[in-house]
Amino acid sequence: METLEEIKARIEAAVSGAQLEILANDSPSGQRSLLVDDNHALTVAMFLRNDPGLQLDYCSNVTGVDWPDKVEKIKTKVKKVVDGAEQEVEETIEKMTPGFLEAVYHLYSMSLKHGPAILRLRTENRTDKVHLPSLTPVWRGAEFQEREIFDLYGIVFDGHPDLRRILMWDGFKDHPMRKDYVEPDDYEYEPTPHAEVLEKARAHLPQPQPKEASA
Amino acid sequence: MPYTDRLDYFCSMTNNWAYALSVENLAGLQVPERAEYIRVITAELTRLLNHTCLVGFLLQDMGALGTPLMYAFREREKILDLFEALSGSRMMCNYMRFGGCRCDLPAGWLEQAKLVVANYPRFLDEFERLLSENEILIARTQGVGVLPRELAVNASVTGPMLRACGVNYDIRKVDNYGIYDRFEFRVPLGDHGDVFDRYMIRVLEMRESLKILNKALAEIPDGPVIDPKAKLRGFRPKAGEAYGRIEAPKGELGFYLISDGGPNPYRYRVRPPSLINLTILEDMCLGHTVADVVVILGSVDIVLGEVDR
Amino acid sequence: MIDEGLKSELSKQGIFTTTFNELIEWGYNKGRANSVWPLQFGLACCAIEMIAASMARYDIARFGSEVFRPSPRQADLMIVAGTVTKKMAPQVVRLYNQMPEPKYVIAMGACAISGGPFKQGYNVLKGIDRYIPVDVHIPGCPPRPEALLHALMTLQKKIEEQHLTGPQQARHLNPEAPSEFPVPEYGEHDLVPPKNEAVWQPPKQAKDDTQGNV
Repeated sequence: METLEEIKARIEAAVSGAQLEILANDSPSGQRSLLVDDNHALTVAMFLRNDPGLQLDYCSNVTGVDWPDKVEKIKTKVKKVVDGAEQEVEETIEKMTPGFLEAVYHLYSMSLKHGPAILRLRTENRTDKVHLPSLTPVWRGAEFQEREIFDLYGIVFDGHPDLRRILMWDGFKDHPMRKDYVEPDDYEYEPTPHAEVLEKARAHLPQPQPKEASA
Repeated sequence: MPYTDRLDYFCSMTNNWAYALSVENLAGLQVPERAEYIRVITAELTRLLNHTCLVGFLLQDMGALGTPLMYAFREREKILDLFEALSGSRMMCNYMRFGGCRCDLPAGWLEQAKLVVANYPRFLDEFERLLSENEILIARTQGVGVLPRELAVNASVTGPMLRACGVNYDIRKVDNYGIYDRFEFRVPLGDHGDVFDRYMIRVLEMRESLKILNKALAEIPDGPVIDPKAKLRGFRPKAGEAYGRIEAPKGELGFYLISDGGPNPYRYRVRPPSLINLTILEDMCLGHTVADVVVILGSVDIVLGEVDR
Repeated sequence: MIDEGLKSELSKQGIFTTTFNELIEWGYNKGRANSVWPLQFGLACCAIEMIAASMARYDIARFGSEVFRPSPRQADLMIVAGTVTKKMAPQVVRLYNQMPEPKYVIAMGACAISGGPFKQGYNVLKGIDRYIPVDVHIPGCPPRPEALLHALMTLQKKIEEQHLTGPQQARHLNPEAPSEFPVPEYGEHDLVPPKNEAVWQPPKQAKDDTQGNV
């Protein structure tokens, strides 16, 4: 298969206005991916499927990834005048990177037997602007998987023929695979090495006796 | 790793392999030669097991209560005995590790496996004599649930379902993962894409698996079974992502992993063949009677552990 | 009237005594115990072992339970085999409600008992005994077919020890004992209610010993 740079150049030539970005992957697998903007995703997908050199006719895996808001603490050293003398004082600036939801498409070609090419679509944020174009009109195989992402992550795919919850029931309100999902609290006591679970279970003990800190 | 066993509870060995393969892609581990052979042997045994049971269940769905399923489970028990000797558990083997396998073969295992493999063609012949030319089976399956080739490709159908439509796509041949390039086997293809083709493809695939097994069991070398660099505890792959896939008995089984450098994966996604093969169930059932839906569903070969997760 | 001491003394001499009631009870229980018809109903991996138990090698027919009924109205025993997801739980309870008395439940496998390996999952019910009374629990993931046979034998013993009258009267003969249990509904975040308090209480822990395990 052509390299990702060549594919990117060819898409840019074919689809005018498409904004593409190659995302690096440090792991030894070296599978890099192509970030596509929402407005041109459908055209780009069509191009990838129909281009005779690529023929990525097989959409193997579609999945969602949740990247929550990140708060980075950046420590900077600032020179300040304190008590008449110049001193270096550390200041911490909290920089917030807004989170986003991501849909990842792994594409292969059945006729030319190459792949994978990885497409990524990103939403603007995690709360209200969670719309992405559906690629189900291009690859039918994405139908159930996009429904699954809608169910578990809450990405709304515009243009999906039948967007309903697939794993949870229809009245369910949460998106369980998001990193900030809070499970219903119905734990019972069990001997387990997982401190997290014990912490939840402890709230249900009949009479939690406070233990002295000396132990 | 134990969770992968329970995805598709017929084929815990191939599930283990797919996950191990993805992590090896992610962390760049090398698998020793003996472990690769063990993986091929166990995976092909799993394929035999799965296809045999599937044919039994398919016939059960058609109304042949008991007999074919009982024959299938008789053979299944023999393979399960092998798995139990190897891993200590009948179904949930939890046998493979990142960079190899958990332990070496027990003494006498290879002889036992050779015996099972040597006796398998007899069972297959018997099974086929019972079923393949059975008038009722042909009447119930031929021309039922036809899946056109283009739709199959577009809907990401994989595995025997896809090959029954005549698309030559077997990940064992395409990706050559593991050591599949050392084995000679053919990929059976169907013409019509109906239920009968799917049944026949599975029977033929079992025969090809037996070829692979015979060669692998004869050639398996001595040596270590796990990469000495692989750490079982405190394993932290570098940040990054990887997608690994294998040809599981039901279709393409893939694992998509994102690591953030910690001991737990940041994102762990299974690409289940059963769920995605179900996408086109509606299209296949249109125009048939309700009684045929059961047969078509049986021929898709789903496992609810993968579908409803 | 013969008292217990005389009864055991006579039985040592080879004379067996019984009352008419006991004879009826024995016959009634024996008949029921040896033809327990299970509901053909599987949820996950354990169902495969359940099928394996009914196949040639393990042969559940030896215990009179080979007749797997496809309808709850013809079954005596419900084998909850496999992971009960929250989406499936109402259907399981509904099936149980549809079974005629006397009815028994075997919870097969770690998932059906407590949620098993998926206990911390968002979609898995933490044990079917939160909604319906379970007679026999089988641990294991999955339990071997032998374990299912053992559970069946345990259940048979349990049935044989049931009494028709008196304070230890069997549950199904007591008109006041509940035979149907409320079906949980799908809520916005979880099943409503999350458990049936009348059937299941969280295990009582005398003191907080969770500290030591961390």
